Amino acid sequence: MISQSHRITATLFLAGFCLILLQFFMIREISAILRGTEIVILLVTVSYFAGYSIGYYLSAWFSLPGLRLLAIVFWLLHITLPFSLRYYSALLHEQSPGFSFAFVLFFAMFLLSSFYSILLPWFLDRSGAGLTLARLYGAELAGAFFGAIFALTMGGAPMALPMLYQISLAGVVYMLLPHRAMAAALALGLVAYGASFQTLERASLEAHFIKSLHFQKAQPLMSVNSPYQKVDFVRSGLTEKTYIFLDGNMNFGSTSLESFNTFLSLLPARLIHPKEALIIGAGSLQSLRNVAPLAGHVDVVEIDQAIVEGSRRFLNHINRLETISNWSLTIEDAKNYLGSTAKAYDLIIVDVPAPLTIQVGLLHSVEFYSLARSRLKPNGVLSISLSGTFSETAITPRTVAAAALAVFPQIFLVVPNIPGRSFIMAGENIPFGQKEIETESAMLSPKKTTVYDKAQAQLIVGDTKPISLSNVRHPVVRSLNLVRGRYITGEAP
Amino acid sequence: MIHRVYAVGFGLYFGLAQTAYFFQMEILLTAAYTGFITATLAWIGGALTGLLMPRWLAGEESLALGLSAWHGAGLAAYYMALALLVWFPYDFSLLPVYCLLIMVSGAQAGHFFRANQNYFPSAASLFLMENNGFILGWLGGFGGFVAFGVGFNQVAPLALSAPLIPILLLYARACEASHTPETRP
Repeated sequence: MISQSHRITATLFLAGFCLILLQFFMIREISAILRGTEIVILLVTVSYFAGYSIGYYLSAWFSLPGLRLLAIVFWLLHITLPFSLRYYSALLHEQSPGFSFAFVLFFAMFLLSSFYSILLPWFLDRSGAGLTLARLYGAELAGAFFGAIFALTMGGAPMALPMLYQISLAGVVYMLLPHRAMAAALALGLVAYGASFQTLERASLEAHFIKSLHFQKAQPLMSVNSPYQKVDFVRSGLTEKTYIFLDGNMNFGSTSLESFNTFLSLLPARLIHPKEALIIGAGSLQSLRNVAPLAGHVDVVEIDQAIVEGSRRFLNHINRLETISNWSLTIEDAKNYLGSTAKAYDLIIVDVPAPLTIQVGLLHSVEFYSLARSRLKPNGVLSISLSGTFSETAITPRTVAAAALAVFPQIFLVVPNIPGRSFIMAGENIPFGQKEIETESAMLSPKKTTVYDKAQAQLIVGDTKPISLSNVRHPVVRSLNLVRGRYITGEAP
Repeated sequence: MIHRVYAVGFGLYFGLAQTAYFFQMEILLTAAYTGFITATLAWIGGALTGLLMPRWLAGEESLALGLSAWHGAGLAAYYMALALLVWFPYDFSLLPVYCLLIMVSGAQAGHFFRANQNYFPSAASLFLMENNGFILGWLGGFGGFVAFGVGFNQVAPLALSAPLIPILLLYARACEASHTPETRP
């Protein structure tokens, strides 16, 4: 029989454990449901922390029976996560994306963390001698410490974090209601959760992709919480094409994205035939397939192992990795890799998503391009995407181009007649000219391609400010516009 | 009133310090999870240390002295980390040093709750005020970085300390003047 004080300490340890797991797997889940951009991640995180304040505020209102009742209600709600939230948001999204957005944020604020934050002040303000703040808050922090270790080491296994969370939550509920009947109910709930996880996971993801992301049929292949983002590989049941979604945003899959890799990687590789090439961002690994046959050796740097694993398993028909031997993979942050390697490259390809978060935005910054320039050989070339069609009215392509223009003495801006696509090849002494780019582009794509030199590009970019360490506004503004367009005005897809 | 201002103010400082650490580590060390896990675990470990440290180290003889000393230590640790990141960018061998420095900053947060627990009418009010400030600090740290870039991270913790120190001293004087800490209901 454990003493009351040990029971309370254990409750708070488990509460801390649950809170940090929620922070890792549910915040990411919610961000993916709302198609995580910087503003979405900010709103979800702030809602989660606001839930703490709500719990602290409410703690004085609950008697012990009230707290026990709340624990049961909370358990019944949370044992349906993350599936129920996907279903509810998908159903609401069908009616109105704005309602869905508001509902999910309401959930994050009131129904995610608030119960756990009731517990610490509730016990402190009612307990007798011996249960000090140091002991109880210490127990909660210790739970959070171990929770963080589990979350970061086990996040790659799809079922691990949700199951661990459910076990810990059941522990919290049992500590508050230590009865045999409750133990039996909790055990039954855990068995049912474990047994139905795969089915519900698949079905709720299907609902999300169909109702929220407008797939006609969807077959989820892989869905994991990596340490960085929610990574989903999904196959369209209609076209049989495989898509990559990162935090709910499409990273690979559309025809336009395939031609993206043709211009980003194949075109410069054919023009240079690099001895040493570097690809930053693995994605589908299609860039690797494009470059490897034309290069001596290719280094691929990717921060997220989950993307590489998914691409190996589900995009083999795109990357044909078994046919490529002249490459090596480094799992690392690109900034750190470039900042610490002594290697110099003939070609560096930056194959990263559009700047919708500050972290990705920094890979489109003046400082990052300067770092990349320092790792280019004298005739080396940097190839980047401008994340949109280059024109006087397109802010993102002009912002990305402004950073490249600020760093490189020589630039060619390549604009194929494909919606949403434009590219830059930059260097100090580029070993080919405008004419060669036009000729090679014509061989790769039937669409007409326009090539601008630095002076022409500069005229269109005008005084647009690039992303830099002293100016990271662009990803936030773009993210804000997307949220407004997707959930308020309905103008953005 | 001074109790609320003090708790919200220091919550704001902790939120801001966390975001500043996070952005600086991400930019000048790594955005990989090794940096993130170091920062997270070191902050939590530091907070635990601050809660459980011996009385002499917590400076419990004088509330004003203990709180000021730990604020100074947390701030100094932050600026040492900042300087090392600028002088030795992308140098992973310094990770244990960053871990230690973040722990010192986290220890201030743990010490904050330990030192102030008896001067608030309830634990709930202390945690509520601090967390409200933390959210504001988190938003402020994010907004400041977006508006002013890394320059904000270099200035903000010190600039925020300028009004916080007099608030801390006023608060400590109010607590010590009441002789006995407020008892919880």
